[in-house]
Order: sequence, then structure tokens, then C-alpha cells
Amino acid sequence: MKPVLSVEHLTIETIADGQPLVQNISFQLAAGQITGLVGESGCGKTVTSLALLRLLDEKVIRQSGRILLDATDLMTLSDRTLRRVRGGQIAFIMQNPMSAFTPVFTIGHQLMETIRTHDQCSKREAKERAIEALLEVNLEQPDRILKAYPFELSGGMLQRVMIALAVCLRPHVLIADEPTTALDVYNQKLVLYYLEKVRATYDTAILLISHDLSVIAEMADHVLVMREGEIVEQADVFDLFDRPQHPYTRRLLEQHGLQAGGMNA
Amino acid sequence: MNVPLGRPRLLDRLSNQRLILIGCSVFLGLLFLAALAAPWLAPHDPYLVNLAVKLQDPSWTYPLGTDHLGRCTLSRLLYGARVSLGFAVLIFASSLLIGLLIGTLAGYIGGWVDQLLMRFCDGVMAFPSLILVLGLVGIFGPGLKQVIIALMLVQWVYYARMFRGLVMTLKEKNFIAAARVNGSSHWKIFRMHLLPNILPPLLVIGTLEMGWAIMDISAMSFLGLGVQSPGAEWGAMIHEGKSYIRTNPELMIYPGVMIMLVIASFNLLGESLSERFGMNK
Amino acid sequence: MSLLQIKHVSHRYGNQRFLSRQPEQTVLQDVSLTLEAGTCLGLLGRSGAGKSTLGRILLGLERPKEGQVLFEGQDIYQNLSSRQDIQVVFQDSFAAVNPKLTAGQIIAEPLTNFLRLTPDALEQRLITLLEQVGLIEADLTKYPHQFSGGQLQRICIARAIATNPKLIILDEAVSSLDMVNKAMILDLLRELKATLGLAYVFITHDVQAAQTLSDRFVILDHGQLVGDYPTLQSFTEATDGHVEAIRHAVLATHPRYRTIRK
Repeated sequence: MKPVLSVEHLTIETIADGQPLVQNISFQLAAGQITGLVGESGCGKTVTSLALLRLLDEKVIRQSGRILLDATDLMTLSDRTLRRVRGGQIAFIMQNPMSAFTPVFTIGHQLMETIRTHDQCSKREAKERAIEALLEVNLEQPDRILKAYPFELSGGMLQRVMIALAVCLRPHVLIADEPTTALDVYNQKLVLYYLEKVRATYDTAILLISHDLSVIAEMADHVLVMREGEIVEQADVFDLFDRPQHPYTRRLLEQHGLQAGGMNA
Repeated sequence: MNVPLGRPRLLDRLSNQRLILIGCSVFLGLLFLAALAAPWLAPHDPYLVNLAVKLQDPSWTYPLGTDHLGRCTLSRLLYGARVSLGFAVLIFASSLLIGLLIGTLAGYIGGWVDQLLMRFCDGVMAFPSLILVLGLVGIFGPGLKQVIIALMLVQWVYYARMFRGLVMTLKEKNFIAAARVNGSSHWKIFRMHLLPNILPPLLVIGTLEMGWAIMDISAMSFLGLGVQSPGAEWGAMIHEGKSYIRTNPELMIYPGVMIMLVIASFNLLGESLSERFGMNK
Repeated sequence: MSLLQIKHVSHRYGNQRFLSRQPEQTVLQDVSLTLEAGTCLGLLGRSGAGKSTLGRILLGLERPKEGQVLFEGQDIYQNLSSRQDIQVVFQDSFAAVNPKLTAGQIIAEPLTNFLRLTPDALEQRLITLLEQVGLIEADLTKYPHQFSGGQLQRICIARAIATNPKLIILDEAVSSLDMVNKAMILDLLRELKATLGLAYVFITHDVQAAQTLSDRFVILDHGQLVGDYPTLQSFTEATDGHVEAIRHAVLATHPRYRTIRK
């Protein structure tokens, strides 16, 4: 299967003291597949996701390696071209949905602005597409939602709005950074359900980042285990859970297993 | 973990800020000392009129020259500092204390107490300080006292609103709830938990407000409403000097530059303090 | 006599401004519960179901519009000394501590308020408490920003057990922690429950966490108590709608149990 996004020898270090944040990692994202990236807080997961979109401050951080989107190396692109890539070809869903939206503009305004930035269309068309997308994630009364401000919606709803936005733009790649961590268990499953729907409908390659192995167990096809900036193990999800190779992976699974019990063991 | 997103280099920011902080503090500190020590530092009596030596250029006897009444400009600047700075501190301190008291009460107790106090604040805020001064001047005639009282009556409202906002935000934080669960009295919570967390913004606002207070006093005096001659005060000196703007502009420039330097120092101090306390995120 | 008795507690939030007409929101409706000493009650439900409000009422932070809370047989609003025996650990440890105080000062607050200790005895108690939660003496002089989330939560736990309380309200105490820290803190809480004979009210939306600590389970939905399961087994085997909804919400622990991807 030809990879949609290919990361080769990505290394990220602080310029000031050469401290490595991410060390020589390589992985691929394939169309229609969910790749899980799991590790403790501080292991470099978020830094990696931001690096893929080149959102890190390049005056403080040195980033090297290749990030191939189809055949183009993102590391060689200008900022202008990158802006078309971000959102249009690689979408990003972040952990805290409230901070992803500007508090002083309505949801509708922000959605339509993003749509019109990437695709030339009229306001009316953008609005129609936005409504369609909101309906696809089963958000009722899309008109009301378009008129609402971010603080009026719950975290779970905002995440679904973000997924709706991803749906609108039909990106090839979707990076979801801890999309369910700030949500309660009921909303978690809902958000994951819609992520899956995006994958199934548009064959999007998804990079799903989480510290929670249950999220990985539910969703991932392929798993990357990250520790202190390095990928210590890469495996098919079933192989990872049944035959973990690296001692760190085993430790994670052990703690995950201690948690489980009762409902689903 | 702090992911660096598009911010300037940490090191540069740090060194600039410290330099400014130290520089302004030193300048203002020296100025305050000079103002306090004016009776010993001033070469002449600032009120001594001597028409024989009027409008002289700087010399050894009169380091900054003399004004239109033969009074030593340097001495007048030094004594003027006492008025400008001294009363600015007075206004600032009193409005701060009143504002702190009322704002904290309103923010912490909430409910109808809050509503009542805030409507009262709204009423006071509706009065521009200038109108109030004119009113008092109308009744009592012009003078420094009227300006001070008018400013004190009006300035505290700004602080009250600010403290109320700060306290209301802090009140919602769980560490206040935890303190109550841990048995701390309201007074202890105020002393140990609220005050130390309000202090940094207070210092920052304080420095900026000092600049405003000085501005207000000078402006009122310049308009002829505050300090009357023969009083030495920077704004009043500009007022008197404006008649000689063609021949001896330095009569206006010296006090003008002093006002500018002092207010600029306070502002820069305030800004660097706010950066240091991390309020610019 | 039960340690804690919640009797027909109801609570509403009204509007604060006297010029607006906003309908009152019912947050809790006729909630009655008992809790025995040394046991842990898992209080489950969605966000907004009223769980945290109930927690605040138990802590004496809010007075219920109706009903009573009895601790060791006495109304907590009449017997104020009971406050010493009911303590709390909040979800976000950074927001639950005064950023300007050292760890030592944070933990010492209930000690200085409720007990009369000499400075030496106080120091000794602080060191003992730190060791009980897995930290070291050197941590006493550090400030909150110098700790990680997991460590700071341990300090909050030390503060909660400082005066030997009988009941601790855990308000989503592990919900902000990653998997590794969550497991460690739950271990610590389990250990302290055994050695100190503590009772817990474990407020959480995370079913799996609740299961590792709780002896009994209740579900709160829109302010009402909709399920009461006296044992772990009765909870896992229940078939009513609410437990089903929870079961549906719980994520798979192994890919073979996955339900979202076919």
C-alpha cells in the first residue's frame, strides 16, 4: 500500500542547547489506515504532530529529516505553500477543542472562513457545505450551531465540529492529537465513532495520538510506541497487544491491564 | 511540556527586560531621594525673587539658569519634584487602598453587596475628574488641595473594578475551595491566598498609575487650576514659562522633559514588571 | 450508625442578577445515600449530572436548598468540627494549590487550622505525610510549578490526609492524569484506604478507574439517583439502561473487543 505521508529520519532539537526532543524517527501513514501514536506525557508526541505541519518555531527549534506528502517534501516548501497544505491536505484536531476556536467569532464564521480559504466558493456555498458537514457528525440544528459562539458548546460538540471541518475539506491526512482526553467517557466514544466515519468515507490516513491504550485498542491498525523522543516499537495493533517486544511497551500494557477488569476483560 | 510556538528567543527577552527594570528603578529611586533631600540639595531658595538676575543662562551659581522672576530653575525643579512625586504617591496610595477594600469586598462576597458597590462605582465613574476639579475650584477657588481631593475621589474606582475582577477569578479556583475545606477563615484566605496572588498585577498597575497621577497634577497646574504661583511644581512652571516661549523656551523645556522622563520611566518599569511576572502571555 | 447519610438533598441554581428573568436550574433532585466507614462509593454519571455539586455540598462549600447531610449522625452545618474529618482531592492539582506557597506550607494549612502542634511536631508530621504519599523531605520547600501533575496530586493527597480525616471526597482526582500516573495514584489511594481506614466518595466519569477503587456504585443522571449497586459484581452484571449506556461508553481494552471499527 502506497503511503500518503512518509516521515523519514525526523529529528527535532532545541537550537539553544541542542537538546533532542525527537530523535531520528521514521514512520508512514497509509490511506484509509489509522496509525496510533502512544506514549506518556512529555515523550514528544505533540512536538512530532506539530512538526509534521511545520508549526514549530524555527528560531528556537531545529528540525531535520524528510516529510513526504505524496511525493513532495514538506520541509522544502515555503510558508505560503504550506498554508495551503495545512487544513487543505493535512487536517489537525487538537486536545483542547475550546482553544482551537477564536472566542469572539461564531462557529459559522470560523468554519466558513476556513472553507473559503482553501476552496474558492461563495459564502452561500460555504454555508451549505458547513451545514452538510455538521449533519454528517450528527450535530442537530446546524443553523443554531453556526450562529453559536465556541463557549456555548460543550467540549464533545466542539470536537465534532472540528471533525466536521475536516470532513468539509476532505484532507488526505488527519492528525488527531489526544482528541478525547478532555472529554468524558460518553463523548469519547462518540468522537472516535465520527473519526472512524471520516476514515471509512474518505479513505483518510489518520494519525491518532493518545496516552490511553484503550483508544489505541479501539481504533488503530498500526501502532507506534514513543518514549523520550524515540519510537521504541512499531507493530500491527494485534501483534502489539499480544506479543509486545520492547520492555517499555510491556510496562505500558501492564499498567493498562491493571486498570481494566470488570466490564470488558 | 512547553512547546515553543513562534516566540522570540528567551534569552534576548530576559536580558533586555532586566536592564530596563534596573535602569528605571535606579533613575526613579534617585529622583525620589533628590526630592526628599531638596532642602539640602537645592542651591537656592526656590521662592526667592530677584529681578536683577532674571532670565539668566546656566552658570555656576545658577546651574540651570533663572526664570522670569529671577528664581533658580534647578531649585524649583527639585522642589517641584516633591510636589509632583509626593502627591502622586499620596493619591496613588489612598485610591489603591480604597479600591482594594471595596473591590475585594465586592468580588469576594458577591451577590447584592457586589451589585450595590458596583452601581456606586458606576455613578462615580460618570464624573470626569476635570469636571470635579472645576466644581471644587468653583466652590473653594483654585489650589493644590482641590486637585488632590478631586483626584482621590475619582481614582479609586478604577482599582476597585480591577480588584473585583481579580478576586472573582481567583475565587473560582479550587485552591480557595480547598482552603475553606482545610478550615481557613475568610480573613486567612484573604491574607494568605488572595493578596499574594493579587500583588503582581497590583505592582504593575501601580507603576502605570503613578505616571497618570503625575500627569493629572501637572496638567491641572498647567491649566492654572492646581498649584498657584509662587508654588514650585512642574506643570505650574510650564504654565508660567509659556509666556516666554520665544525668548526662553528652556523655562518650559526643563520641567517638560522632567515630566516626560518620569512618566516614561514609570511606564517602562510597569511593562518590564508585567513581563517579569509573566502577564504578557 | 453510618458514617455519612445524605437525606433527600435537592439543589437548584438561581439567577444572581435582580434584573433578569432566568429560570432556576435543578441540579440535584431528592438524592438519598448512605456510606459506611472505610468503604468507597463510586459516584458515576455524565458531566453535568450533578456529581460535583453533590461533592461540594458534602464538603460544606454549598448549602443544599433542601435536605440534610449527616456525618456521624450530626448535621454538618450544625456540627462544624466535622469539617476536619471530611477532606477533598480535586481534579486539577495545579488549580487546587496556591502557586505562591511551598509544598510544606500547602500541606501544613489544615494542620495549623485544626490542630495545635509545636513547630517540631508540625515538621515531623509533614515529613511523615510526604513519605506516606511517596515523596521526599526535600520536596517540602519546592513550589508547585516545580512538580509534575502526578507529584502535585500526591501533595494534594498528603494535604487531604493530614488531619486524619474519616472521609475524602475524590472529585475526578485521577481524570487529568495520564495512564501511568493514573495507575500509580489509584494504587496509592487504595493503600491509604486500607492503612488509614478511609472512606471515599469517588466522583468520576471514568468507569474503569471507579472499578479499581470502589466497593459500591451509584449512577447520577440529570441530578437524580438512577442506580445503586452495592457490590462490584452487581454492577458489572446489571442489565438496566444506565449501566448498559456505561458499558457501551467504555472503550475496549484489547483490539479483539473493539466495537467502533468493524
